Amino acid sequence: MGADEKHSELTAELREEIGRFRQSQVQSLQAQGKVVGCLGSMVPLELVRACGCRAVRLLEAGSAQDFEAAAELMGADTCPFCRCQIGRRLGGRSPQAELQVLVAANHCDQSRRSGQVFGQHFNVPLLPIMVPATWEDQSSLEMYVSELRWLGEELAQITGTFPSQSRLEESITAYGAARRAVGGLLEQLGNTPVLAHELVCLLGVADPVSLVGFVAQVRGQVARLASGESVAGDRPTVLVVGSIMGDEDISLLKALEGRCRVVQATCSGRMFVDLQVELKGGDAIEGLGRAYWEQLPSVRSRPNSPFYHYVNEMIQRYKVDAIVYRSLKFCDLWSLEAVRFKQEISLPVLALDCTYGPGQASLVDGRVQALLEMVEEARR
Amino acid sequence: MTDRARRGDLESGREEELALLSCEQADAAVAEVDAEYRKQCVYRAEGVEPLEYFQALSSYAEAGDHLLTRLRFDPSPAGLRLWSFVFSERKRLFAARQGGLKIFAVMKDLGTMPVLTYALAKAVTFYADELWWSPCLMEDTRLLDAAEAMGCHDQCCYVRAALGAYELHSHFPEPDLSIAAVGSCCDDFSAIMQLIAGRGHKTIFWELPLRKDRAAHISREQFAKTFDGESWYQRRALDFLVRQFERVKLAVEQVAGEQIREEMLRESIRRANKVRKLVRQIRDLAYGTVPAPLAGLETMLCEFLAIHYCSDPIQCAAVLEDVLKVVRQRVELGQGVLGGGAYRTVWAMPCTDPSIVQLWEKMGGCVTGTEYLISHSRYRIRTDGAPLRALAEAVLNDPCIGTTAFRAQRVVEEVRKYQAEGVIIPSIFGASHCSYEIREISSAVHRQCGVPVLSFEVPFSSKGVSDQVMGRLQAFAELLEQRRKKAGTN
Amino acid sequence: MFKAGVDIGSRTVKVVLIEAEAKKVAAWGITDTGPIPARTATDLFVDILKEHRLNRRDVLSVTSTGYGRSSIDWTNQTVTEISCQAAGCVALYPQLRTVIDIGGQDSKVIALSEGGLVRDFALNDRCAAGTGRFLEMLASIVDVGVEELAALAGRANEPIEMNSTCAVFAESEIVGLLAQGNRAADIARGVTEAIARRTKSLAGSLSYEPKVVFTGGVAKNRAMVEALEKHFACEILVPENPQLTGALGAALLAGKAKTA
Repeated sequence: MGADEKHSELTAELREEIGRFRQSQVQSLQAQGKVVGCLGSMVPLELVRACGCRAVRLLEAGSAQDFEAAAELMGADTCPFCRCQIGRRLGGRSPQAELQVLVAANHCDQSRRSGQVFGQHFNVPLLPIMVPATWEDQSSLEMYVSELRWLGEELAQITGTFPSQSRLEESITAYGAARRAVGGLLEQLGNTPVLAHELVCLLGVADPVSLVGFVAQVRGQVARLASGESVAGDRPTVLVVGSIMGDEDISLLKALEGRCRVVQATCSGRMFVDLQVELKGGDAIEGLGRAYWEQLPSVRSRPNSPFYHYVNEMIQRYKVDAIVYRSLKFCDLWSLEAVRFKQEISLPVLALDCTYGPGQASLVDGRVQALLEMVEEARR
Repeated sequence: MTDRARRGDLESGREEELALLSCEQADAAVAEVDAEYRKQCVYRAEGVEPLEYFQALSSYAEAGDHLLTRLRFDPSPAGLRLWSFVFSERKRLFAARQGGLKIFAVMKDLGTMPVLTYALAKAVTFYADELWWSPCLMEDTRLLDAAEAMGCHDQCCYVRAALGAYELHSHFPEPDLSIAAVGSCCDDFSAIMQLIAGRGHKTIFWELPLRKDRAAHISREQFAKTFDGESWYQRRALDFLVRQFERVKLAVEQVAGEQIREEMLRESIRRANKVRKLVRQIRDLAYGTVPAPLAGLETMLCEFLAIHYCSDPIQCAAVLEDVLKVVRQRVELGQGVLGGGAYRTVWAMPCTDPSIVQLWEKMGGCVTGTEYLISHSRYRIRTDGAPLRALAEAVLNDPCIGTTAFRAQRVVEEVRKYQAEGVIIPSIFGASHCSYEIREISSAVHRQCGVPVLSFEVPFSSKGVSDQVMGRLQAFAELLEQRRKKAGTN
Repeated sequence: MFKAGVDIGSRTVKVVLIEAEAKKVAAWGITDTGPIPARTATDLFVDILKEHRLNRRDVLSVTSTGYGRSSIDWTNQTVTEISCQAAGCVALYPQLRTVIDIGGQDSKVIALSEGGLVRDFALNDRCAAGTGRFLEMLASIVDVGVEELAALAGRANEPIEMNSTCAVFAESEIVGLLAQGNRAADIARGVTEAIARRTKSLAGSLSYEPKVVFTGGVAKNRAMVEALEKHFACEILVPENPQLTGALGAALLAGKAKTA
């Protein structure tokens, strides 16, 4: 068996393992308290879990079918990711179908409003939280922390479990271990971005304790995969920047796979894994809030200089050669920033305005290829 | 509805329909206006050359707002003054700049920040959002093209014209400070404001909080009701807003080089309340009287004056007082600018192309109630307690920071209050809230009021209203006619 | 010996054969893509070889490009139309800095560095309103051939500004405009202007520079060239065979390192 075949076989094996684990986690959702959907990266999974709930970060999106299914509830000019949250529930697809409570952050107008549609149409209690877009004044962080306290109280009313300091500490520790476990594997999966992404998405749906066990189980396979890499080391490094990449929304990563080393700096990429909550005996909600506030920079911040700071840091850290800036059609916050991003970043940038559907893969593939041709040509 | 609005009055034959004027006729009417009256129509500010604004409307059309040549206007001097006042804002802003006044651009909060900035005597404030109308008014895509070159393409609503205007310096001088509200507002404008700031325009961002649905919460969260407007809000949100206002106040003071003392702010609130009261009175008479004493566009202009005074608070109040006088007179005399049998409709969005409102009136309809996303600018601001806190509280009436259901309810209340027969939602492609609101508003109106809703997209137009829009409006008029026949009211 | 470039586009397939050493065009062909692009491309390639009494062994390397570039299995490498258009156009115009390519399915603007390398690119994928499809739709409504549209637009007295930014909506708008008695020539000029405006805005994000070359099937439309010259405020160069530059570039890149 050649090195390439061996590599493919190992990749396929791992993918199957991840799929099986994910499936088992989805099936066990309702066995662990209320299933709480978290719409937006600033909804702390740790807090939800500390209230005796099973936290599910909504990363699933989205087929053309899901997109179309939601047409009865929203207009054509809506963000595909938000639409698909509704579409998947309408189609009875997991984990949206299992949600018993939805926490929606006002990261954007559409996540706020689609959360309302979800709650109203499916009769699911909706807990909206306010995550200020402004950050220059201390009051914004304080408001966010006070929103988390409110969320804890609301969830406690539903579940009867108050997020006490000890429960929060346990939950923060559990998620911290899961994040570290997943993060430890990511460096080895730069050449298999689809696999890396699927592994990261497990953080959104799995019980963190089980996830640590799963990672320990596949660590050997990942090491074998990495050591057997036949991919030349001089391939360019591409940073993927953008909004949430759903676990079915991987045409871009597929297009990159095998052509370059990939670092994902999207809202569901490295920052989701690298997040560290430090517990120094202080108030756990405050610590949690501060960690999320300071470590998850977003294009939505006003002004959004922390986002650019983060991107530049990633460029330095990973010696990035080119960037794919991915937005979703009708996601204004990302889409309208694309031209400015190209002007601000002194590297080749491919701006992709994507939607969900069968035609996307070939379109994305062609453009990614053109970007890499451009980078290769410049290197010669 | 006012007493005079009862249909009995119509049957008694008291109705008298006044004809609206074409642009040419309006010019002739302006020329005939008494010189003394015209002398009252002057923009005055410290250090600024007095600026007469009551001019032939065609002069404003020639200056760029070409749509004026296709519109029809209220025949009274007060009505014509209103149009002149609104369309002369650009001149005032450039004159103010020349006179050394500080220029503040405000965006998105629609009605509160100008109350803060107008506490200063040597400052002028305008809404950059209002450029939203300009492509249709100008019948020209220049502003949109300029925005598109900066990445702000047609997935985004017409508010992108503001970005184009910042770049072209065509509609206002460079502001000394842009005050941008973000957070619980539409995404496209938040993105545009970032692009504006990113291009070096001095900007301060402040946060519009999320107003939660009190009925849906079970924890010990403390809620309170706004002083006027009756919106429930979390107390924490108000405390947070006060700190946001303190930040903005400080930034404004730094730019102006002058401190805004409490009594200055109180005076500004008093002036705002006066304007707000005038607007409430005008719209109550305009929407609540049959036949309508004021047409849809004139009433809309009055409503929008409440958010920013069109860069001159003194003249703004004078213009509105004049309009109110005329409206009262007409109500007394049973005069209207539209037929008494007009189809009564609430408009749940302002229309990007104002000529569509007049087209509807021409087809036999009228505007009789609105929810233009600015309803919070009509409510009284508290005059007791700390003025900055009172101003912050006024923000919490904003229909856009709460649930979609809240705004839908505002539309329902308008339908009930003014006994509307239908609701029209001229939506805007790319405005994120529209795609979510239309269904909610339609459903609430059907369910609670049993009247039909028409929604349609308003495309950019340089040559008149499109066939598609015309067809929809006509069909809606036919539908309302059928309903009348069925109900035996016609 | 020869090298070949095969450009499989949404509307047409183009093949260019060049002499491997001299890099001169030896033969070329173009045909409609048809329902099975791979078969059309293969047939065209074989026909050209036959016509010039060559066989496959005479062709050292083949590069495919265009949206169907991966549909054939007899090429040595696939390269995107971005790189190929750039290579083809630079070969014709060495001082070139910007390429505008408007094809049947999409439109693109490519910015080049001084050395002729791709510096940046932008593609219109939001809407057909900036592509050849818009013109085809117009031709079908006003019942003329696509090739006659330039002449038709040339007869315009007062171009009608198109309100719709989307080709789908524009179709009903055009029908409405005709029903109102507007002249087809004025509408044709309006559509031409709309495409040029869209292309300009596409280029706006790239900080493009003259010298500008216009390629693709739409480049044969003289009215479109004039409209672009107006909007770009510079001379727009059009190669003799504007549809072939992608295939030419592919042929020139044949034998170079494989990138995908």
